[in-house]
Amino acid sequence: MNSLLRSKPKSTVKKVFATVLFVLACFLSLQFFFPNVLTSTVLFIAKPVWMFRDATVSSSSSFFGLFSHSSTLRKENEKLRDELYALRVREVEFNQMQTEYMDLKTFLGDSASTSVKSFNTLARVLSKPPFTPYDSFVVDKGTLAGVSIGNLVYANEGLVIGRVTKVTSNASFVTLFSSGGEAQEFLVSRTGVSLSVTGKGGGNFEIYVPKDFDIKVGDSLTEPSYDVGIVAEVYAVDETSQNSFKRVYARVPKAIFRSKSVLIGI
Amino acid sequence: MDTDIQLRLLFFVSLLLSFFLLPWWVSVPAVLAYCIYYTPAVEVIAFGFLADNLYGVSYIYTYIASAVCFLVYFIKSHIRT
Repeated sequence: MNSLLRSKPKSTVKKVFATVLFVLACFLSLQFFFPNVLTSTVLFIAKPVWMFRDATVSSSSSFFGLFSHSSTLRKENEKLRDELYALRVREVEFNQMQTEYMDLKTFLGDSASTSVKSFNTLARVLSKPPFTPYDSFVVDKGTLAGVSIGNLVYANEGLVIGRVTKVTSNASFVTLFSSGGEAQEFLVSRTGVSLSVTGKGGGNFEIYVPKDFDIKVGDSLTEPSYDVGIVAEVYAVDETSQNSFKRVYARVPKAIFRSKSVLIGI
Repeated sequence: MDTDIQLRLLFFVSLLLSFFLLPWWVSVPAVLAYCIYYTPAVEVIAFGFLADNLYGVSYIYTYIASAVCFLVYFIKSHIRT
Protein backbone atom coordinates (compact mmCIF):
# COMPACT_ATOMS: atom_id res chain seq x y z
CA MET A 1 0.00 0.00 0.00
CA ASN A 2 2.77 2.30 1.04
CA SER A 3 4.84 1.46 -2.06
CA LEU A 4 1.81 2.07 -4.25
CA LEU A 5 1.35 5.51 -2.75
CA ARG A 6 4.99 6.31 -3.36
CA SER A 7 5.15 5.03 -6.90
CA LYS A 8 2.10 6.98 -8.06
CA PRO A 9 3.53 10.52 -8.03
CA LYS A 10 6.68 9.50 -9.95
CA SER A 11 4.71 8.48 -13.02
CA THR A 12 2.43 11.50 -12.79
CA VAL A 13 5.46 13.80 -12.39
CA LYS A 14 6.70 12.50 -15.73
CA LYS A 15 3.27 13.05 -17.26
CA VAL A 16 3.07 16.59 -15.92
CA PHE A 17 6.60 17.30 -17.14
CA ALA A 18 5.65 16.03 -20.60
CA THR A 19 2.45 18.11 -20.58
CA VAL A 20 4.33 21.25 -19.55
CA LEU A 21 6.89 20.66 -22.31
CA PHE A 22 4.14 20.04 -24.84
CA VAL A 23 2.25 23.23 -23.91
CA LEU A 24 5.49 25.22 -23.93
CA ALA A 25 6.40 23.81 -27.35
CA CYS A 26 2.93 24.74 -28.66
CA PHE A 27 3.27 28.34 -27.46
CA LEU A 28 6.83 28.67 -28.73
CA SER A 29 5.94 27.34 -32.16
CA LEU A 30 2.97 29.72 -32.28
CA GLN A 31 5.35 32.53 -31.41
CA PHE A 32 7.86 31.36 -34.00
CA PHE A 33 5.43 31.04 -36.90
CA PHE A 34 3.10 33.96 -36.15
CA PRO A 35 5.10 36.45 -34.04
CA ASN A 36 3.37 39.69 -35.02
CA VAL A 37 -0.08 38.19 -35.43
CA LEU A 38 -0.20 37.06 -31.81
CA THR A 39 1.12 40.34 -30.40
CA SER A 40 -1.33 42.29 -32.56
CA THR A 41 -4.22 40.09 -31.41
CA VAL A 42 -3.30 40.43 -27.73
CA LEU A 43 -2.96 44.20 -28.11
CA PHE A 44 -6.24 44.37 -30.05
CA ILE A 45 -7.96 42.83 -27.01
CA ALA A 46 -5.93 44.83 -24.49
CA LYS A 47 -6.38 48.29 -26.06
CA PRO A 48 -10.07 48.85 -25.17
CA VAL A 49 -9.53 47.32 -21.72
CA TRP A 50 -6.61 49.68 -21.02
CA MET A 51 -8.59 52.66 -22.30
CA PHE A 52 -11.49 51.68 -20.06
CA ARG A 53 -9.09 51.35 -17.09
CA ASP A 54 -7.56 54.78 -17.71
CA ALA A 55 -10.99 56.38 -18.11
CA THR A 56 -12.24 54.77 -14.89
CA VAL A 57 -9.16 55.81 -12.92
CA SER A 58 -9.32 59.43 -14.10
CA SER A 59 -13.08 59.77 -13.54
CA SER A 60 -12.90 58.20 -10.06
CA SER A 61 -10.01 60.46 -9.05
CA SER A 62 -11.96 63.54 -10.21
CA PHE A 63 -15.04 62.27 -8.33
CA PHE A 64 -13.11 61.86 -5.06
CA GLY A 65 -11.51 65.23 -5.73
CA LEU A 66 -14.95 66.80 -5.14
CA PHE A 67 -14.67 65.93 -1.47
CA SER A 68 -11.35 67.69 -0.95
CA HIS A 69 -11.31 70.40 1.68
CA SER A 70 -11.66 73.94 0.33
CA SER A 71 -8.47 75.15 2.08
CA THR A 72 -6.51 72.31 0.48
CA LEU A 73 -7.91 73.28 -2.90
CA ARG A 74 -7.03 76.94 -2.30
CA LYS A 75 -3.46 76.03 -1.40
CA GLU A 76 -3.18 73.78 -4.42
CA ASN A 77 -4.56 76.52 -6.63
CA GLU A 78 -1.98 79.00 -5.33
CA LYS A 79 0.81 76.47 -5.82
CA LEU A 80 -0.30 75.76 -9.38
CA ARG A 81 -0.47 79.49 -10.16
CA ASP A 82 3.09 79.91 -8.91
CA GLU A 83 4.21 76.97 -11.01
CA LEU A 84 2.41 78.37 -14.03
CA TYR A 85 4.10 81.73 -13.60
CA ALA A 86 7.53 80.07 -13.27
CA LEU A 87 6.87 77.96 -16.36
CA ARG A 88 5.83 81.04 -18.38
CA VAL A 89 9.09 82.72 -17.45
CA ARG A 90 10.99 79.61 -18.45
CA GLU A 91 9.07 79.38 -21.71
CA VAL A 92 10.09 82.92 -22.62
CA GLU A 93 13.72 82.10 -21.80
CA PHE A 94 13.50 78.86 -23.74
CA ASN A 95 12.04 80.51 -26.84
CA GLN A 96 14.74 83.16 -26.74
CA MET A 97 17.45 80.52 -26.42
CA GLN A 98 15.95 78.44 -29.18
CA THR A 99 15.95 81.40 -31.54
CA GLU A 100 19.58 82.15 -30.68
CA TYR A 101 20.45 78.51 -31.13
CA MET A 102 18.80 78.31 -34.56
CA ASP A 103 20.55 81.52 -35.63
CA LEU A 104 23.87 80.07 -34.54
CA LYS A 105 23.17 76.83 -36.37
CA THR A 106 22.36 78.68 -39.58
CA PHE A 107 25.40 80.90 -39.13
CA LEU A 108 27.68 77.88 -38.63
CA GLY A 109 26.40 76.28 -41.81
CA ASP A 110 24.42 73.42 -40.34
CA SER A 111 21.09 73.01 -42.05
CA ALA A 112 18.30 74.08 -39.71
CA SER A 113 16.09 71.30 -40.91
CA THR A 114 18.47 68.61 -39.65
CA SER A 115 18.72 70.08 -36.18
CA VAL A 116 14.99 70.26 -35.61
CA LYS A 117 13.48 66.95 -34.63
CA SER A 118 10.41 65.99 -36.59
CA PHE A 119 7.78 64.86 -34.14
CA ASN A 120 5.43 63.36 -36.65
CA THR A 121 3.52 61.28 -34.21
CA LEU A 122 1.88 61.99 -30.92
CA ALA A 123 1.07 58.65 -29.34
CA ARG A 124 -1.14 57.83 -26.42
CA VAL A 125 0.42 55.68 -23.68
CA LEU A 126 -1.68 52.56 -23.24
CA SER A 127 0.33 50.78 -20.60
CA LYS A 128 3.22 51.85 -18.41
CA PRO A 129 4.80 51.00 -15.04
CA PRO A 130 3.61 49.82 -12.55
CA PHE A 131 1.28 47.89 -14.88
CA THR A 132 4.24 46.66 -16.93
CA PRO A 133 7.10 44.86 -15.17
CA TYR A 134 9.84 46.61 -17.14
CA ASP A 135 10.60 50.28 -17.76
CA SER A 136 8.58 50.10 -20.92
CA PHE A 137 5.57 51.76 -22.50
CA VAL A 138 2.98 50.42 -24.91
CA VAL A 139 1.75 53.22 -27.17
CA ASP A 140 -1.14 53.32 -29.60
CA LYS A 141 0.75 54.13 -32.82
CA GLY A 142 2.37 51.51 -35.01
CA THR A 143 3.61 50.89 -38.53
CA LEU A 144 0.43 52.39 -40.00
CA ALA A 145 1.42 55.74 -38.47
CA GLY A 146 4.97 55.37 -39.77
CA VAL A 147 6.60 54.20 -36.56
CA SER A 148 9.54 51.83 -36.95
CA ILE A 149 12.00 50.04 -34.68
CA GLY A 150 14.72 52.36 -33.37
CA ASN A 151 12.65 55.58 -33.44
CA LEU A 152 13.43 57.85 -30.53
CA VAL A 153 10.62 58.59 -28.09
CA TYR A 154 10.25 61.91 -26.26
CA ALA A 155 8.28 62.80 -23.15
CA ASN A 156 8.22 66.37 -24.46
CA GLU A 157 10.34 68.38 -26.88
CA GLY A 158 13.80 68.07 -25.43
CA LEU A 159 13.44 65.06 -23.14
CA VAL A 160 14.36 61.77 -24.81
CA ILE A 161 13.12 58.79 -22.82
CA GLY A 162 13.65 55.70 -24.95
CA ARG A 163 13.45 53.85 -28.23
CA VAL A 164 10.82 51.86 -30.08
CA THR A 165 11.84 48.20 -29.78
CA LYS A 166 8.87 46.39 -31.26
CA VAL A 167 6.11 47.50 -33.61
CA THR A 168 2.78 46.09 -34.67
CA SER A 169 0.38 47.73 -37.11
CA ASN A 170 -1.47 49.71 -34.43
CA ALA A 171 0.82 49.74 -31.40
CA SER A 172 4.47 49.98 -30.44
CA PHE A 173 6.60 48.91 -27.51
CA VAL A 174 8.94 51.55 -26.16
CA THR A 175 11.90 50.47 -24.03
CA LEU A 176 13.03 53.31 -21.82
CA PHE A 177 16.74 54.09 -21.52
CA SER A 178 16.33 53.62 -17.77
CA SER A 179 15.28 49.97 -18.20
CA GLY A 180 17.22 47.75 -15.81
CA GLY A 181 20.55 46.63 -17.28
CA GLU A 182 20.26 48.76 -20.44
CA ALA A 183 23.71 50.24 -21.12
CA GLN A 184 23.85 53.28 -23.38
CA GLU A 185 26.41 55.84 -24.49
CA PHE A 186 25.41 59.36 -23.49
CA LEU A 187 27.15 62.72 -23.54
CA VAL A 188 27.69 65.02 -20.61
CA SER A 189 26.25 68.20 -22.12
CA ARG A 190 28.55 70.55 -20.15
CA THR A 191 31.80 68.89 -21.24
CA GLY A 192 30.75 66.93 -24.32
CA VAL A 193 32.45 63.78 -23.01
CA SER A 194 30.83 60.43 -23.82
CA LEU A 195 30.25 57.84 -21.11
CA SER A 196 28.49 54.54 -20.58
CA VAL A 197 25.31 54.84 -18.52
CA THR A 198 23.42 51.87 -17.11
CA GLY A 199 19.67 51.92 -16.52
CA LYS A 200 18.52 50.91 -13.04
CA GLY A 201 14.75 50.99 -13.53
CA GLY A 202 12.20 53.53 -12.35
CA GLY A 203 13.74 56.33 -14.43
CA ASN A 204 17.11 56.00 -12.69
CA PHE A 205 20.62 55.58 -14.06
CA GLU A 206 23.99 54.65 -12.59
CA ILE A 207 27.42 55.54 -13.92
CA TYR A 208 30.89 54.35 -12.86
CA VAL A 209 33.62 56.79 -13.75
CA PRO A 210 37.18 57.46 -12.54
CA LYS A 211 37.34 59.78 -9.54
CA ASP A 212 39.00 62.54 -11.56
CA PHE A 213 36.23 62.49 -14.21
CA ASP A 214 34.59 65.92 -14.56
CA ILE A 215 30.94 65.41 -13.65
CA LYS A 216 28.88 67.11 -10.98
CA VAL A 217 25.37 67.36 -9.58
CA GLY A 218 23.05 69.14 -12.04
CA ASP A 219 24.89 68.02 -15.19
CA SER A 220 22.65 66.91 -18.04
CA LEU A 221 23.17 63.73 -20.04
CA THR A 222 22.16 63.88 -23.69
CA GLU A 223 21.58 61.46 -26.53
CA PRO A 224 24.68 61.49 -28.79
CA SER A 225 22.79 61.20 -32.08
CA TYR A 226 20.75 64.32 -31.37
CA ASP A 227 22.17 67.65 -30.30
CA VAL A 228 19.03 68.63 -28.43
CA GLY A 229 17.34 66.25 -26.02
CA ILE A 230 18.19 65.64 -22.42
CA VAL A 231 18.03 62.05 -21.22
CA ALA A 232 18.81 62.47 -17.53
CA GLU A 233 20.15 64.80 -14.90
CA VAL A 234 22.83 63.96 -12.34
CA TYR A 235 21.47 64.23 -8.80
CA ALA A 236 24.18 62.61 -6.68
CA VAL A 237 27.86 61.71 -6.86
CA ASP A 238 29.23 59.13 -4.43
CA GLU A 239 32.98 59.40 -3.99
CA THR A 240 33.22 57.47 -0.75
CA SER A 241 34.38 54.16 -2.23
CA GLN A 242 37.94 53.02 -1.56
CA ASN A 243 38.80 52.29 -5.19
CA SER A 244 39.64 54.79 -7.90
CA PHE A 245 36.09 55.01 -9.25
CA LYS A 246 33.12 57.06 -8.20
CA ARG A 247 29.45 56.21 -8.56
CA VAL A 248 27.23 58.81 -10.22
CA TYR A 249 23.44 58.70 -9.94
CA ALA A 250 21.19 60.30 -12.54
CA ARG A 251 17.46 60.32 -13.15
CA VAL A 252 14.95 61.48 -15.73
CA PRO A 253 14.03 65.09 -14.85
CA LYS A 254 10.29 64.44 -15.13
CA ALA A 255 7.74 62.04 -13.68
CA ILE A 256 7.63 60.08 -16.95
CA PHE A 257 5.42 57.34 -15.54
CA ARG A 258 2.59 59.89 -15.30
CA SER A 259 2.82 60.70 -19.00
CA LYS A 260 -0.40 60.10 -20.87
CA SER A 261 1.15 60.71 -24.26
CA VAL A 262 4.59 60.72 -25.85
CA LEU A 263 6.12 62.05 -29.04
CA ILE A 264 7.74 59.69 -31.49
CA GLY A 265 10.47 61.14 -33.69
CA ILE A 266 10.10 59.57 -37.11
CA MET B 1 -20.74 21.93 -13.67
CA ASP B 2 -18.71 20.93 -10.63
CA THR B 3 -18.30 23.75 -8.07
CA ASP B 4 -14.53 23.26 -7.99
CA ILE B 5 -14.28 23.65 -11.75
CA GLN B 6 -16.52 26.73 -11.60
CA LEU B 7 -14.27 28.26 -8.94
CA ARG B 8 -11.18 27.43 -10.98
CA LEU B 9 -12.71 29.03 -14.05
CA LEU B 10 -13.69 32.12 -12.08
CA PHE B 11 -10.17 32.39 -10.63
CA PHE B 12 -8.71 31.96 -14.13
CA VAL B 13 -10.87 34.73 -15.63
CA SER B 14 -10.08 37.04 -12.69
CA LEU B 15 -6.37 36.44 -13.24
CA LEU B 16 -6.73 37.09 -16.94
CA LEU B 17 -8.42 40.43 -16.21
CA SER B 18 -5.84 41.28 -13.57
CA PHE B 19 -3.12 41.09 -16.25
CA PHE B 20 -4.83 43.88 -18.16
CA LEU B 21 -6.11 45.97 -15.27
CA LEU B 22 -3.80 45.61 -12.30
CA PRO B 23 -0.08 46.21 -11.71
CA TRP B 24 2.20 43.24 -12.42
CA TRP B 25 3.11 42.92 -8.72
CA VAL B 26 -0.53 42.02 -8.00
CA SER B 27 -0.97 39.63 -10.94
CA VAL B 28 2.25 37.67 -10.50
CA PRO B 29 1.69 36.62 -6.82
CA ALA B 30 -1.94 35.82 -7.69
CA VAL B 31 -0.80 33.53 -10.49
CA LEU B 32 1.68 31.88 -8.13
CA ALA B 33 -1.11 31.29 -5.59
CA TYR B 34 -3.27 29.82 -8.38
CA CYS B 35 -0.41 27.57 -9.39
CA ILE B 36 0.09 26.33 -5.82
CA TYR B 37 -3.61 25.78 -5.15
CA TYR B 38 -4.52 24.08 -8.44
CA THR B 39 -1.57 21.82 -9.23
CA PRO B 40 -0.74 21.03 -11.97
CA ALA B 41 -1.88 24.36 -13.42
CA VAL B 42 -0.62 24.14 -16.99
CA GLU B 43 -2.76 27.15 -17.95
CA VAL B 44 -0.24 29.30 -16.04
CA ILE B 45 2.01 28.99 -19.11
CA ALA B 46 -0.68 30.85 -21.03
CA PHE B 47 -0.40 33.72 -18.55
CA GLY B 48 3.36 33.83 -19.11
CA PHE B 49 2.78 33.85 -22.84
CA LEU B 50 0.20 36.62 -22.46
CA ALA B 51 2.57 38.72 -20.34
CA ASP B 52 5.35 38.31 -22.91
CA ASN B 53 3.07 39.46 -25.69
CA LEU B 54 1.62 42.32 -23.66
CA TYR B 55 4.86 43.82 -22.40
CA GLY B 56 6.91 42.62 -25.35
CA VAL B 57 10.42 43.45 -24.23
CA SER B 58 11.83 39.94 -23.98
CA TYR B 59 10.33 36.47 -24.07
CA ILE B 60 11.03 35.18 -20.61
CA TYR B 61 7.74 34.85 -18.75
CA THR B 62 6.64 31.81 -20.80
CA TYR B 63 9.76 29.93 -19.67
CA ILE B 64 9.45 31.11 -16.06
CA ALA B 65 5.78 30.10 -15.96
CA SER B 66 6.59 26.63 -17.35
CA ALA B 67 9.38 26.12 -14.83
CA VAL B 68 7.22 27.35 -11.93
CA CYS B 69 4.30 25.17 -13.01
CA PHE B 70 6.45 22.04 -13.05
CA LEU B 71 8.48 22.88 -9.92
CA VAL B 72 5.39 23.64 -7.83
CA TYR B 73 3.86 20.33 -8.87
CA PHE B 74 7.11 18.47 -8.22
CA ILE B 75 7.55 20.00 -4.74
CA LYS B 76 3.90 19.49 -3.81
CA SER B 77 3.93 15.84 -4.86
CA HIS B 78 7.09 15.22 -2.83
CA ILE B 79 5.69 16.94 0.25
CA ARG B 80 2.58 14.75 0.02
CA THR B 81 4.61 11.55 -0.11
